[in-house]
Amino acid sequence: MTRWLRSSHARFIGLILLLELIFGAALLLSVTQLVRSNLDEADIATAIDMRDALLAIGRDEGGKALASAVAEQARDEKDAVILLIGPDGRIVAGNLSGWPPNIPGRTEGIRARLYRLGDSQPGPFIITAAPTVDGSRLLVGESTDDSDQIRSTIGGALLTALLTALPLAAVAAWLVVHIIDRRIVHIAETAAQVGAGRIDHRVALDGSGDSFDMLGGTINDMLDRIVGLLAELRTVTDSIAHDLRSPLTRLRARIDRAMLTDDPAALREAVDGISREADALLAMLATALEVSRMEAGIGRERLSPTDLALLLADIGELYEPLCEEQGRALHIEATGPAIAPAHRELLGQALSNLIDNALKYGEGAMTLYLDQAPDAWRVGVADSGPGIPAEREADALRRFGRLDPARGIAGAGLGLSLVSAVAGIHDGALRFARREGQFAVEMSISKGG
Amino acid sequence: MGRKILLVEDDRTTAEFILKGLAEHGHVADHADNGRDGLFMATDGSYDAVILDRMIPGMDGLAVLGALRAAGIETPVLFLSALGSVDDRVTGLTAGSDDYMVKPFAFAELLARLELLMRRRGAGTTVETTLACGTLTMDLLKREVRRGDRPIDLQPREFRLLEYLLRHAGQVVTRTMLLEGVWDYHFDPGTNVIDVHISRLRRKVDGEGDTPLILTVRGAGYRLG
Repeated sequence: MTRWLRSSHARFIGLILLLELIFGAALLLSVTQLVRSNLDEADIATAIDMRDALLAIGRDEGGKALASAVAEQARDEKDAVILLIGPDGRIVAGNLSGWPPNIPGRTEGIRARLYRLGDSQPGPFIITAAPTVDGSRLLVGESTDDSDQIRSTIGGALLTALLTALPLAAVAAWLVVHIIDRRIVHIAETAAQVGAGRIDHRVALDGSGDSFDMLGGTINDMLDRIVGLLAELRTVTDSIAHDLRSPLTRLRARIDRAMLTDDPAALREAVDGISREADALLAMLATALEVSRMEAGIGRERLSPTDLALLLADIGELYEPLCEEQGRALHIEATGPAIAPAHRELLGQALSNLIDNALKYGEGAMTLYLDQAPDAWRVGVADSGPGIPAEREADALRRFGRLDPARGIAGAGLGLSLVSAVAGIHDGALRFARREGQFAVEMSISKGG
Repeated sequence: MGRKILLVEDDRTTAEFILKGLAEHGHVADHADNGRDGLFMATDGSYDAVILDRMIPGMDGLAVLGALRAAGIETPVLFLSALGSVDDRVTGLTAGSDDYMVKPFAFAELLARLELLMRRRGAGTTVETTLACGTLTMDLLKREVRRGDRPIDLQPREFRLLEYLLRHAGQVVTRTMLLEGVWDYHFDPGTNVIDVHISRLRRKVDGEGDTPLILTVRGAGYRLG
């Protein structure tokens, strides 16, 4: 029970009830206040009318006529108190036993409970008083009994209405909570299902686009992404198993052969080979890790404004001798400044991978280029080789994915994955393109902002 | 000349391997197998260099380095860590270490980098205007290079490459050191891209009839002189 009271449901229902109560109380107060002041005004008006009529009699017809009019009214008016006191302070006529204390000689609207002569109970009156022309004092009060009754009736009715409304509000609150609850529980259950391994479960959407729909949609997107990553992870583990096995087998074979030889020169050579295989394995592992880290978004915080044209010039300068040595010209087409938030190291590595690829698989002159799309820079490497056939592009991008003829050449099939991940970290993508008759692999680098 | 080096490394095999190697090259090395001891010893002793692992018990390597620098101790620190991503390296270097090496490593490279660090510290503030090795001279102000009487015409990057080799004459410099020192890149190029630069430079520096100055050190890198 206490747990339930602490829950958001209880708080929600409590809040709605509290608001309902405050609203009801405010309504009750303002309505009774309004009714009360209206009724009071009416009672005072009646009393003033009666008093003024009597004062007029006194002024026009003299004290005697006033005294008899007062006496008559005092007898006939069942809902009024009336009293005339002479200038000497004696009671001239009326239905009160004396001038009540606390009532001044001139007033309009003092409430008081007064005993009328002959009544056993005091009644509520609203009093007016004024002096007459000959120095007497006249008091006239109208009973507020009837209006008090009206007032309490209205108050009672409102209170009843409020009390009836409270359970209705409670039911409404519970219903609202229930409706919200159903949607959230559904989302939670979906998450639990996925957590339990049924990863194809998704939150059902009603297409309304409300906040629940948005939450559901976001969660579905997230689940899709997780499923995508899982599938990729599976491919990677499968590929690692496959691609690590061959170099490890070669390593093993080299060690076996080395153990059989006694010739120091051959042994030296064998150890060299083993060392090279180990280095290649380590490099492969490092790259695989680097790609995973980037795909998880690590490194994004290191992006800083970088001139891509300078970067291209740098990398071009680094690779130019190597390209030349292999009989391949390297042209740079980049005019700066081309500033973008970039990770210099990772971009440098990506470009160096692309140049390596072009050296290994491409033909003819190579171009290292920079051009621009509306909100991104495009940097890439183009060469005159046949490139990757359109139907094999997806394979080429897969991690550890290598096009079959490439299996014979050194490399782990991670190069393009790394480039793709680098582009990803720059809010861009890797794509294959035809550029002035050359085959190009390029990264888009978001200009940011 | 032997130097005093502190090794902070928790893996016994690696530590023994490094200590043995350092001793063979005439250095005196102390060993701590956790961060707290490492920090204590580094603060206390007057070491010429510290080799610091990043993932060590007691106190993380980065924290040890931070505490050292906070205490005003400027001993050169070389990180030796299995954390090898580009990001890890940049983190280590920006945290105030003087160099960063990734495990697994070649001892030759560790020694080369370590000696380089200690020499850099020892060099003090004298501004050199000429560098020389054998008959090779480099005038840093006029940006002229001569081999004996023969002027050598170098591209700007070749000049910087040779300058780096000259500043570390007699020491082994590895390919990664060259990529870091001359090009300021910390990734692994994977190809022999540096070798080609060196062989071009070698063709210009070591002409016919000259004693070869730029030597290849098998399994490690290069050495000038």
